[in-house]
Amino acid sequence: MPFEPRLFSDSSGDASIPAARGDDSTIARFAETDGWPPLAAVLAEQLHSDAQRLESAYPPPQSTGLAAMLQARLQAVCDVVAAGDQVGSASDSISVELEPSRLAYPQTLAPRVAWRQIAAAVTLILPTLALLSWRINQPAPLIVQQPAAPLNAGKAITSALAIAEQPPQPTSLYPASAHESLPPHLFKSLSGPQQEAILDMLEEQDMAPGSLSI
Amino acid sequence: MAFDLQTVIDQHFARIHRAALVMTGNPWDADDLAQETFLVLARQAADPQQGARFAGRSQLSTWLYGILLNLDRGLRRRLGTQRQKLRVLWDADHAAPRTTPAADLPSEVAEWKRSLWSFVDRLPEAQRHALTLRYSEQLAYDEIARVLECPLGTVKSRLFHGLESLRVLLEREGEDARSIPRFPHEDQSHAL
Repeated sequence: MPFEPRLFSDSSGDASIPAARGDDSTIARFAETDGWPPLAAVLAEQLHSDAQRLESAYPPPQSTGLAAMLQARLQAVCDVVAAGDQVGSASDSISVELEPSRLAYPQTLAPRVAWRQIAAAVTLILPTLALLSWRINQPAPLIVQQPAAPLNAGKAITSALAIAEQPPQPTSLYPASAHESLPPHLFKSLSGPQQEAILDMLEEQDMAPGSLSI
Repeated sequence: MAFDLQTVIDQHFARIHRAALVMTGNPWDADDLAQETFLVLARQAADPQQGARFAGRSQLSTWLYGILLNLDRGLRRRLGTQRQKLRVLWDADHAAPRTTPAADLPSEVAEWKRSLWSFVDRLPEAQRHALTLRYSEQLAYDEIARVLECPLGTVKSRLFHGLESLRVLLEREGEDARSIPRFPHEDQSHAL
């Protein structure tokens, strides 16, 4: 059975399809296919006639006024870039038609965005450092070693039993002094890892005099 | 290089639109792609800071085809990502029967689906672009080489292998079409 490249032959018999009618005068000849397998020439001609058929079926829209429309769109882009700070809101309206990634952050805005990030970082870091330095400068709590009480076995057993009967109190993982010394509004404004880091540092600071006293 | 945009559009819009139509398979995407091609050209002309802009060393049509192919590449990349996401969502919900056309399928017009260009669409990008520029746009070899930024021999090779791949695709499609009965309910052995 010979191979037939026209799998989808047009059954409507449309006169505007020259290839289907076998009208050789309108079929393009492509010189490069002369030395190639015969089917290559058939495919090349069929591709060309299919492109012509598609073009006639879907002609391009009227291009009059297209330049004005495109220039208006271009002007809109330039306005957005010039507006600077309003890029976010204004680009929303044109991002449907244009490539958003290239328009939302054009080259000229890149340094401005970087400066904002730096300012935000400084705003976060400075209070944290101030808090830490303030805490470090605080005098260490004086630990006084209590003299040992005289040995009284009966009294000690009674007090130990009384303590054992008391319900267990929930304890914090962090020392109470750390919670008390932090201004709550500053502490709450920090993220979880930052809070943990600060508490760890404060805990270490609190442990130091205790270990020295021993 | 200064030029009047409306004049350029009048001269080149039809051919750019045709190439876009052949590549996308529907007139809506073709309109968008063609318009965006000229928008990119206007943007390049308006902004002297642009790295790549038309300097008059080649024909303007060649430059426009280059922009069009780049846009087509970007469009396919975006569509590919979208389809992948939709496929992942669809795969997660096997139980629901599909009663509507799949959302991850591109919309193509029937005339395009019946044409050989729907088979060209399945070829690798390099061959697809070469076939489009040669057999739809009828560009000469050296013009195609300039658009695709490759040597002349590569253009010939891509055209040859493109047509060969197309032949293989069509043969395979023909065999598949013959192996499936036209009316499955008449062929009881097919169900077994």
